Formats: sequence, C-alpha cells, structure tokens
Amino acid sequence: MLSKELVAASTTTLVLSILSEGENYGYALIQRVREMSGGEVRWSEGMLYPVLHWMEREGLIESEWREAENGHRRKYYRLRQKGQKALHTEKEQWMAVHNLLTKLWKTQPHLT
Amino acid sequence: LNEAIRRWQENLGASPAFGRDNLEELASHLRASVGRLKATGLSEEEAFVIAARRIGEQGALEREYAKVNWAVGWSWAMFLFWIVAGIYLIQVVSSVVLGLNAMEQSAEERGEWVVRLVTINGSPFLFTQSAKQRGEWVVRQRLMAGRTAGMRSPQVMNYEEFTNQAGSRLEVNRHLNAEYTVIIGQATNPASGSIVTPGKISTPEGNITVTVARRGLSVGGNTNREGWIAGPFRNRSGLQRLVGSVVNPAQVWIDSNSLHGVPWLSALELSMLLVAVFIMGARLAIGSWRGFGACLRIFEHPVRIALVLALPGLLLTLLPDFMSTGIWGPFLPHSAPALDSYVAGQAAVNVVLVLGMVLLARRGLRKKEGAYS
Repeated sequence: MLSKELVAASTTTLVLSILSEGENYGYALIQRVREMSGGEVRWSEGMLYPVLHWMEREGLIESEWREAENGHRRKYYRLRQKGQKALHTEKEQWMAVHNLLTKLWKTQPHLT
Repeated sequence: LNEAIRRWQENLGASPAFGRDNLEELASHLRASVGRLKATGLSEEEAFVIAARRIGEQGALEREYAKVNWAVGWSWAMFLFWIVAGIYLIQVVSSVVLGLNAMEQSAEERGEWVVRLVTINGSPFLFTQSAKQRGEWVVRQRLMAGRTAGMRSPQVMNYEEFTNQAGSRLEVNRHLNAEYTVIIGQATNPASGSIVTPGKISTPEGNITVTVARRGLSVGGNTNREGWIAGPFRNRSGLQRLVGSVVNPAQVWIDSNSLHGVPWLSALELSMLLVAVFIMGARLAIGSWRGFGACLRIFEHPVRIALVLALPGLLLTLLPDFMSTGIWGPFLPHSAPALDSYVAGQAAVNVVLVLGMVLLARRGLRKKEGAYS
C-alpha cells in the first residue's frame, strides 16, 4: 500500500483524472481508485469529501445534486475548464517526476 | 437503516464543522456503502456498522471538514460577528469599571458589586450553557438570585437619608463617589421647603433655571434646604460648572473618578481578566478553539481591522448603557429598583450580544455551504 503522504499528494490529480473521463459521485470515485490501483491506493472514505469541496471552491470542479435510481439523492462532480488546465499541469509534473525516477533507477544497479 | 443513518447524521451535526449539505452527502455515501456490503451477504446492521467505520472516525472527519468549511476569509456574517464581539468587550469593560467604584467602599458594598458583576458578565455563560442543556429555568433562578442579592444599591439614598447626612459633607461625598449612579430622591425648594421638579427654582439668591448642561451631565434640578444639588450626576467638571453658576460652589465637591486609587498592577491584572472574559465569550459563541482561530482570518486585511475597530464605537451610542446615562439620565426614575433593573438590563444586553455572536459565527463559518449545492 502507498504511504499516507503519497496518497495525500496524489489525491487531487487522481480526482481530476477520473473526472476527466466523465462526471461521477464520491463513493464511485473511491471505488474506482481502489479497483484501478488493485487496492494499493486507499482513500479514507469520509476524507475525500473535504478535498472535493476544496477543489470546488478553487473552481476546478463543480457539483450537482441529482436523484439516483434507488430514489436517493447523490451529488455528482464534474470537471470545469480550470480543472482541465490543472490536470494538464499536474500530468506534466507527475510525468517529470516519473521520467526522472525512471532514468535514475535505470542507471543504478538493482540491490536484489 | 434510515433511522440509524438519521441518528448518525444527528451525532455529526452536533459539530459546527459540518453543514447540512455535508451531512447529506456523507449519508448518501453511507447508503451506497451499506448497499454494496449487503450485496456481499452481510446483514443490514453489520453492513451499517462496517460502512460507518469505513467512512471515518467523527473527530477526524470534523477536523478535515473544519479545514475546508472554516477557511472563511471575508464574510458579512463574520464581519458583523466581530462588531458584536467588540460591543460585548466594551460592555464587559464598562461594567467592570463601574464596579471599581466599590473598591473604596465597605466590605458589604464590595460584596454587592461582586454579585452585580457576576450577574452582568456571567449571565451569557450561564444562559448559553444552560440553554444547551435545555435548562432555561436554571438561568432564571440564578439571575433572580443575583438580582435579589444586589437589590440594595450602595449609591442610592432617599431624600431623608440625604438630608440627614447633609450636615456631614464628607459622608455625602463618599456616597457621591460614583460616575453616574448617584441618585437622590425628591428635594425641596430651599426657600419654600416644598418639593420641586426640574425647571425654575426660587432661591434666596434669586430664580434659578436648572437644565441639563450638556449631554453626559444629568442633573435632576433639585436642591435641598441647604442648597445642595441633588440628582443623577455624570460629569465632575460639568457639574462644577453648573454648580458654580447657580449655587455657592464652595458647598459642593464631588469626586467622580471611577479609577481613583487603582494601582497599576491591578489595572494590568484587570486588563488581562477582561481580555480573558472576552476571549472566553467569543470561544463560547463559536463553539471551538479551531473555529475561533478560523474567525481571526478576517483580520488579514488592514481595512477590515480598521472598520471592525471603528464600528463598535459608533454602535455603542445605541446601547442602553450609553442612552440611559448620557441621554435618558434626567428621565431615570429616582429609586433603588431602577438601578437593579440597570444591572438586569446590562445582563440581558450581554446575553443578547453573545447570542448574536453565536448566530453570526455559525452563519459566517458555514457561509460556503450554499456553494456546494
């Protein structure tokens, strides 16, 4: 499992990435991350919402209450234009780190 | 399940960190989680317990939501909150300064003032705490007890007492040693001995028209047989001026300095006490220290600081304290119960101020709620 710090640092990027596929609600976002990471990335469920609210306040995403199939209301989030730009920047930065680490680890001998 | 979720929501909702919208979203999450767990074969109860645990411990949730919901910055509600808080601070200060008059008085009189100060400044705490426990009768009982204990005001003399003591100037001066609560009852025309009211008075030196010299100086316009001015006094220099123009100035001497004889160390201790009372009041209104810290963010902008500091002073003129002494002084009833209703009135004003702070703090801290829906 990833460390808490790394999970926290990647949360915004992950939310932006999932929402770039289409609108979604909180519980589904958590499930999607869990499934796609094979359980490596686990968000504390209730803690995601304050992050979503912060992102909404920053203008990265927007939300809308809608009625689900079971009759209960759900809050759906979707990306805004500012969020798309932020995702672009985040991608570049994460890729830069990824490329750097890849280069570093390729030039060093394996310890095993 | 609905009942369990409702109770769970109520439990979370006790904290001001969560808005209605937040609670609804968390409940929606809980339902989805319970549904998924039930599909794996768990009973509804088991599914709820696990889902509630997964969503997070209340304290941790509260901390995270508070970070987002309380990053308030500017809001009108928060701005008004600090205005009301400023007025509350002035109320605390003025009531304590008033009580300092009792420092040079007898132990019994000092005791009475302690009861008054506790009634005035402690009532918001009693009220808010008791209201939380749905025990408003406790407040009524305690307020009544405080008021009864402080019923006999040391500054009040009736006409008989006043005339009896008039021969001893020192004794009368001691009773006049208050800023604006000296109230002496009916007086007589020195020439005729009849009871007079403010207006024209006939004296051996000629007719005198007694009026309020200026705002802040409230002279009832009565004199006793020896030519003493009687009535509610406000200002030493103003009174001397008035007395000098109408009566023999050598006959009247009033020491009205409220802070006379207070050592500097006591003043420092008093200031610290006042600030502590104020901070506790603000903390009580907001509901948590974290929220109190969040409210301070409004002061990030210097213009806002200036406005918040200036407006309480302007609004102060609307308070009963100022109006009763500065504007309505001449019309105050000259009786002991009037002073005790002053104490009760100040206590009520403080309760209203703290309740206003509660409402404004909650509104200010939750101002972002609407943006989520």
